[in-house]
Amino acid sequence: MGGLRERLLNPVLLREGRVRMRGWRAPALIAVYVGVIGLLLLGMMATMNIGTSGFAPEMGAILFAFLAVVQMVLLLVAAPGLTGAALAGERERQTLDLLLVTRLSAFEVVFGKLMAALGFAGLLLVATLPLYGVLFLFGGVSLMALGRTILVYLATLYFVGAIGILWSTVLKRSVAAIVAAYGTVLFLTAGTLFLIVITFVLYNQPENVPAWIALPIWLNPGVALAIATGGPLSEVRSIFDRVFSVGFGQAIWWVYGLWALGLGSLALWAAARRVHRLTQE
Amino acid sequence: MLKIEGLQKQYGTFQAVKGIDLHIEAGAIFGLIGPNGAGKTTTMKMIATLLRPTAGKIVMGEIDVTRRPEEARRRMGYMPDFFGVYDDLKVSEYMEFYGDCHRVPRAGRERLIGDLLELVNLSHKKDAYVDGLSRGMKQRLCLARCLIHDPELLILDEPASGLDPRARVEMREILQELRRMGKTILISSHILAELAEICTDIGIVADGRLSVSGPVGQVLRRAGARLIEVRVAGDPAEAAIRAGQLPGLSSVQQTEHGLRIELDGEDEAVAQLLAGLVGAGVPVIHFAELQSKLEEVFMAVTGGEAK
Repeated sequence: MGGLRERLLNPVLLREGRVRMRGWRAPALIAVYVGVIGLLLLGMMATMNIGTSGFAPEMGAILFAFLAVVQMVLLLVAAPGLTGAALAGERERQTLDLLLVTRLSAFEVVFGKLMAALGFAGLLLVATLPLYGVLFLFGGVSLMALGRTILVYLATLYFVGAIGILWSTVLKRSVAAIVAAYGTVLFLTAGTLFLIVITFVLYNQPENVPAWIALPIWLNPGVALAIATGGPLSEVRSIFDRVFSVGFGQAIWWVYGLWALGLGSLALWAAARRVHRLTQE
Repeated sequence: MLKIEGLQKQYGTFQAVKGIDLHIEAGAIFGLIGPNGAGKTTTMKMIATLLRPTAGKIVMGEIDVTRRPEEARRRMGYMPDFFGVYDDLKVSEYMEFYGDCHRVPRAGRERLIGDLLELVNLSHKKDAYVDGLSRGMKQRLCLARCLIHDPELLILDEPASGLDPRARVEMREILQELRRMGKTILISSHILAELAEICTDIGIVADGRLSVSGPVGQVLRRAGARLIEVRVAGDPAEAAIRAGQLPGLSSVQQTEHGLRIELDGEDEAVAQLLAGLVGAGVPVIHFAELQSKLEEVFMAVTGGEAK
C-alpha cells in the first residue's frame, strides 16, 4: 500500500512542520532570533565606531567572528529545547502509543522528530544569512570561512539535536529531558574545556599531556567554530597547537564534524532502539 | 479471528495478567469486562503489540502477533482509553496524519476520510481544531482514526468512558454499524450496561484471569435461573395462581402489576412459558427477560467490585 512518494515522506516531519509553522509563534520566534542577533551586531558596530560603508577588512573579520559566536550560542540554546521534549512530549500528550501501532518504524519516528526540530533551527540559521551579507561589505570574510562555519553549525545542530532526542526517549518528562540535554551541551562546551585545562595542570608539562586530550578538543563545538571561522578566533588554535603534533590542528573543524555526525547518529540509533523497546517491555 | 492462549504479563513481582485464553470469531463484538485493575488494558495492549507478553500466544488470523507485530498492525486498529491530541491540528489533518502513518495511498484518501467522518458523524467538524472538540466527538474521531487503514480487528479500550448518555448511544450505534461492515471488535469496559447491549460475546476478567467467557446468553445462563418480568391486564394474584400450575418454573413471584418468574433453560423454555401463560388464560401485556443476571454473574466473579 502506498507509492514511493508516500514512503519517502516522513509523516512525523510533515505534521511537526505544519503545526510548528502555524500561527504567530514561529514567525515571532524567527523575528526575535534575528532581531537579537541584529541588535547585538549593531551594538558591536557602534562599540567599534565604524560606519556602514567603506572597506575595513579587519573590522569585518572581527564582526564575523562575533556574529559566528553569538549564532553558535543561540543555536546551542535553541536545539536542546526543540528536541528535548520531542518524544517525552508525545508521552505526556499520550500520543506515543498511537504512533507505535502504526506502520511507522521507531527510526522513522525519531528521525522525523529530529528533522522537524533541525528544520526549524535551520530556518533560524537561514534567516540570519542577510546579516552575514552585510559583513561582506566590509571585507575580511571569505565565502569559504562562511561555508565552514555553516557546516559546523549544521553538524552541531545534528549532534546536539540527536542528544536531545535520546534524552527525550530516556526520560519520561519533557522538562527533565530538556534539562539533561542542556547539561550535555554544557559538558560539550564548558565541560570539555575544563577537562583540558585540568589535564594540562595535572600533567604539568605540555609534552607529558596524553594523546587522548585531543578527544575533548574535537568534541567541543566552540573550538571547531573558532577554527572554522578563522580570523581573530583562529588564535584559539595556538592554545592547542602544543597538543596537536600530527597535523590535526589544521583541520579540527571537520574532525569535529565527523565526530558530531558519528556520535549524533549513534544517539539517534540508541533513541530508535529505546522507542522500539517500548513495545518489547 | 483472534486466538489467545495462556497469556501472561509480569511487571517485576507483580503479575498483571495471570493466564488468559480467548477465542473471538470473525464478525463478533467481544466485550471484555472487569473492575479497574483487573488486567483488561494490559491484555488489550498486548494484543495491540504495545506490550510483549511474558508468556502465551496471540494469533490474529494466521499471524502470530508477538512474532510479526508489523504485519499485525496493518490488520488491527487500536483505540486507547485516553485521547491524546496534537495542538493546532484540524480534524481532517489529524486523519491525514494517521493516513500517512499507516501508508494509506493519497489517491482517494480525501474521500475515505470524508466517509469515515460521516460514519462517526463528524463531517461538519472536518475543518475544526481537534483540541476544540467535545469529549464525545474526540472519542468518535479516535474511532475514525482506527479505521483509516481498514483494519479487520478493532481493539477499543473503554471507548465510552466519560461520555454522556447521548454520546454513549451514538457510540453504540457506530459500533453496531461497524459490525454490519464485517469488523471484529474487542471492546472493554468496567460498566456492565454498556457491553450487555452491544456485545455478541462477553468475557469477565478478574484479578488477571478470564473467569467466564462465551456468548452473552450462555454467560447469563451460567448464572442459573433466567428472570422473566410479566405484566398482566387483570388481577396479578389470579395470574400467579395460573402461572404456578405451569411445569418447569423455578419460582413465581407476584408483583404490583404482574409476575416475576424464574426458570432454567434455553430460549425455547422462555417461548414455552409465554405460550403456557397465554394458554392458561393469563392476560399478558408485557413479557421481557431482565438483564440483571449479567450483573449478578459479574458480582459473583469479581467479588462485588462491579460499578
